[in-house]
Amino acid sequence: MLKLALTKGRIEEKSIEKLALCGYNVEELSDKGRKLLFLCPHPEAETLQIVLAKANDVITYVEHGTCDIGIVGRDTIMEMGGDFYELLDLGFGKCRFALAGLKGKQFYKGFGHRIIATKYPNVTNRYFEAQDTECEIVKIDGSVELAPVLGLADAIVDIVETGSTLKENGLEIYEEIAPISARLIVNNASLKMKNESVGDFIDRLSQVIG
Amino acid sequence: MGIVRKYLPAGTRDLIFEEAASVRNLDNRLMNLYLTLGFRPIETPVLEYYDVFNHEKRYISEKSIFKLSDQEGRLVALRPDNTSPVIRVVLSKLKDADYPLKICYSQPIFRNHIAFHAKKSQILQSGIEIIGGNKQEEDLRCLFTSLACLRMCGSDYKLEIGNARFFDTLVAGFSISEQERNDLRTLMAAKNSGGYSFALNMTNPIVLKLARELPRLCGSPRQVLIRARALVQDNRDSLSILDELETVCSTFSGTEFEDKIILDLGIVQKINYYTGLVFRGYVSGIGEAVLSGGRYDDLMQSFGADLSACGFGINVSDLSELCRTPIPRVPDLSFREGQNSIKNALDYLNGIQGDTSC
Repeated sequence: MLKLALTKGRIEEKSIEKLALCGYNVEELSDKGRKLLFLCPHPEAETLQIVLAKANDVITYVEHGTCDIGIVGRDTIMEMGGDFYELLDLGFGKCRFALAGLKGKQFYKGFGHRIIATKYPNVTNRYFEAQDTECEIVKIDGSVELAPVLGLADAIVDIVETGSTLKENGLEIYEEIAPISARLIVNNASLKMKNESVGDFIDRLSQVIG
Repeated sequence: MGIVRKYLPAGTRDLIFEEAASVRNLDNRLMNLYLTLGFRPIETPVLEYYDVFNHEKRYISEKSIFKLSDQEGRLVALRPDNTSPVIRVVLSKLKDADYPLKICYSQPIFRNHIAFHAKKSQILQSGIEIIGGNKQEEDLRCLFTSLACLRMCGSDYKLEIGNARFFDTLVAGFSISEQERNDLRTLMAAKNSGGYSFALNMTNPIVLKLARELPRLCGSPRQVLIRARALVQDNRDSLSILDELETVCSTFSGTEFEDKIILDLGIVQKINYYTGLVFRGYVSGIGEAVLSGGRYDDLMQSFGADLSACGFGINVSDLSELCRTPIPRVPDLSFREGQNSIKNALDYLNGIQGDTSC
């Protein structure tokens, strides 16, 4: 049996769709109630045990080998890092990391101290370090868009899908930082110890993601 | 001062009874194996000058090394690895020894990990290093010893073999910048085929094909070699590495180790530490490699020596969690006055211990 950690929410639905296309029986997942563990049998392949988890936890489970494989957004991978293989770009859950702030303001103008509000301090830190720009980061947990509006920060670094939340709050994108999509990650040891079944799973999945 | 704290710094552990016995037992068995195979033990201090780990081929990040200072304010490290200290000993004290030198060790290493990842900051690492001598033979000796170690904890283990130079021979002919090469290496190390198109903006179809296929060149030697040969076509350097790997794998065919070996041609070294053969050992139940090693001639060179060297280290702390050693029950000897109890205890001891002189 292969254990798959699946990120709850946005990515979950698309992933289940793809798994069904691969021939897995995803019945248990359609009526899940409060359960967090599900079995998805396959007529030819090894049964999948699916674990529903929050994005950060998907990485933790896979890194420790508690789960063999995981499906998680590139945003979480970039923020959390970790030692695992990132084998497939699943092509859905597409959005991007962007630097955004009040419309019409020139972020890089002037010599003043800049404050960035974000849920992703590591991504933000790396981005500005790479271009030798000093910024102070404030970690925010909820709606980051509020920070520039309320005057807490000069800009935000956040994931942007359509950009409508930014627009409705008077913000605009200054710079795109990185594209994001759902990724298939594999535990280092599982890829070796369960080489055949993991390889088989990846083959099936890559066929349906085109 | 208030009451003494009764808890530990993050990442450290007390080993209680069976836990301590298991580490000790596995450690002894590994050491006995090395000695049986002709390796000689050395021990180095926990403290080393930081420079020993901070050379041109630095392979441990600055952040993860515990640092202190000596009386003159010089930077000292809690040893984060055993290979560099062993090289220091070899090049300072064993210059006139008989080569090839076959060294074994077993001592803790220390790494400062990021918080809340349940990673051990102190690990008992046991291993071997072979310095000087015939490369092919050393490589095989290292692989054989690795497999002999891995089978100590059950039959469900794998040894993956690759070559750190394979990637470089593949991209040698392409006109890509050093930066692009390093980016590729980083992506390759994570087997991140999804990252290429974006990170590199590469249009070279051969590089893209390579990027897609190399991470998947991992599995049973025969199949991997067939796919790899198709991929490298007439790249002579890459082909000769594949031939070498095939020879290595075939040396083990017909033995119990045959189906324990897998090839991973997607192995790249993010830092140029290993120079040829690279290998990692995995056991069922542990989510990361428990053994890792390879050929590190370049590392020797950054210490100023032109010597071939190959070795591996095993994470005894993690591996021992898989094979718990029960502690035998002993008779409840009494030590009461006037009961001849010391004589009884001595009789018991002599009965099991025999000759006690060293």
